[in-house]
Amino acid sequence: MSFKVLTKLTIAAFCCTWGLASAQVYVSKSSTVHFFSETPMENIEATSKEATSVLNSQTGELLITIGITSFKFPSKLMEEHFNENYMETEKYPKSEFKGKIVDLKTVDFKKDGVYNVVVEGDLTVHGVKKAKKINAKLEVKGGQVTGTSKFVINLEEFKIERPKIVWEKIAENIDVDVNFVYAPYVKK
Amino acid sequence: MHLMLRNNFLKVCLLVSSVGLAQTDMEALLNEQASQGGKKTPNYVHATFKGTKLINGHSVEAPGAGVLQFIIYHRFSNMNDVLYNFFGLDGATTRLGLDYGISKRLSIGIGRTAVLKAVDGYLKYKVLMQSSEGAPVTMALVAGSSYNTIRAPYYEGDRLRRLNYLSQLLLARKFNASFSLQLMPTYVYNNLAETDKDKNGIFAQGYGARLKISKRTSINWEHYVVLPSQVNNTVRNTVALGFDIDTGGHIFQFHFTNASSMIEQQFIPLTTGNVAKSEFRLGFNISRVFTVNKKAASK
Repeated sequence: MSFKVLTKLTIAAFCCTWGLASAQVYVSKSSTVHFFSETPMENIEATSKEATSVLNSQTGELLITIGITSFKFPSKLMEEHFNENYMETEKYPKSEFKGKIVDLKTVDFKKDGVYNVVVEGDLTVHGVKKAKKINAKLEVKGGQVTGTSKFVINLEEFKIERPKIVWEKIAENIDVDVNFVYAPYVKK
Repeated sequence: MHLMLRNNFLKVCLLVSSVGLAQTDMEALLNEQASQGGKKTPNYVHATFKGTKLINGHSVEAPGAGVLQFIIYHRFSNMNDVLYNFFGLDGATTRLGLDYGISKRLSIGIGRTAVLKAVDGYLKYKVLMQSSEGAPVTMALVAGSSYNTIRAPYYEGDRLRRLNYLSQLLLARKFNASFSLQLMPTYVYNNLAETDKDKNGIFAQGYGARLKISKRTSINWEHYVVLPSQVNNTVRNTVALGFDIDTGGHIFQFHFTNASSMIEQQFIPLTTGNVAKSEFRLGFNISRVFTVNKKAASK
């Protein structure tokens, strides 16, 4: 093997490792997904701490997945109705988001600070995929990234059926707030 | 030629490095992270049945932790009494019951039944809970007793005669969103047997099923078969066919059954309604739940 070829191979190897290192991938270490809806009878709210997300700081790619049964309600009956009657969890066990941070250039992942960004992508809830544009906030602090966002889900848009009977009125729009704490991905 | 190939290889390397992780890699990483995630709540199945009672007897369901449930049970009298008692609607037996979920698995219930003026109580414990990655069935144990407070000569002088016991194993599986099946081997013991021909301890095998017909309604079936040569020949197996409506906070259960009582210690050894002679009655259970302990409920 000639010296030239060896050099080229070395450069190639270097490029690969450098590439992976600079395309920093973040994975969520903890998360909170919470939703709230005001109804005449009682307020409906639930929290899940079991959502998972990955974020690519070079491409801006952002993926989230959440198991629907991980949402905990103040009452078991509410949880049962949520899974049985509204989300049809046995048919659609997960909700997902696949998107990108649009204005990635404004974010410096190496510098501490708070960055307001716009995330664009497909949100899949109840088996229905919808294109969404969501405002979010990224806070970089000591290598960790905290992403927070608030948005509204319209039940009709995701084909979540609202009952017609009067005694179980639920709101048309549900307020959702999410919080993800990311740390750089270290391959085990 | 050789060099050309190597050059191409170099280009590929550079391309990979500039793109970083490809999209599919990100998705693979997401799935890997989601499946790791440490402590995860198992995907327990919800609502194998709508009510804590299938119709007359227990289902594997229990009120959630910190939730109090009030049920009014009502059975009219035999429907074959068409004209004089207007399809049996003039007569009635009732039970009022309270159930409370101590934890996700353990619940306690008390009640009072008009039949023999019995007061009763029981504990229900879920040994197994069906989940998509764990147990294929939900298994619950029920242990209960009742005390007949009716004034009757055969109870005079011996209070212990008034006591009755229930032990039951409930085995249920929710096969899909609309179909659930339950088996309930049951043993009841009455300190005072009904006649010389009745045993004190009686084994029965119960079967139950529900078929959802819409998101909020289902058809239920329940059948308790008394194993042979334990009871006098007037005793019939308990059968019931019901319809559940879940309205949110309430569950309305309407049914036809040949039993007049609503606790196992009574309906297994005492049901005499002969379905073939139209000796069955209309009945309903109405339940309402209240979250009384918010701390326990949100755990």
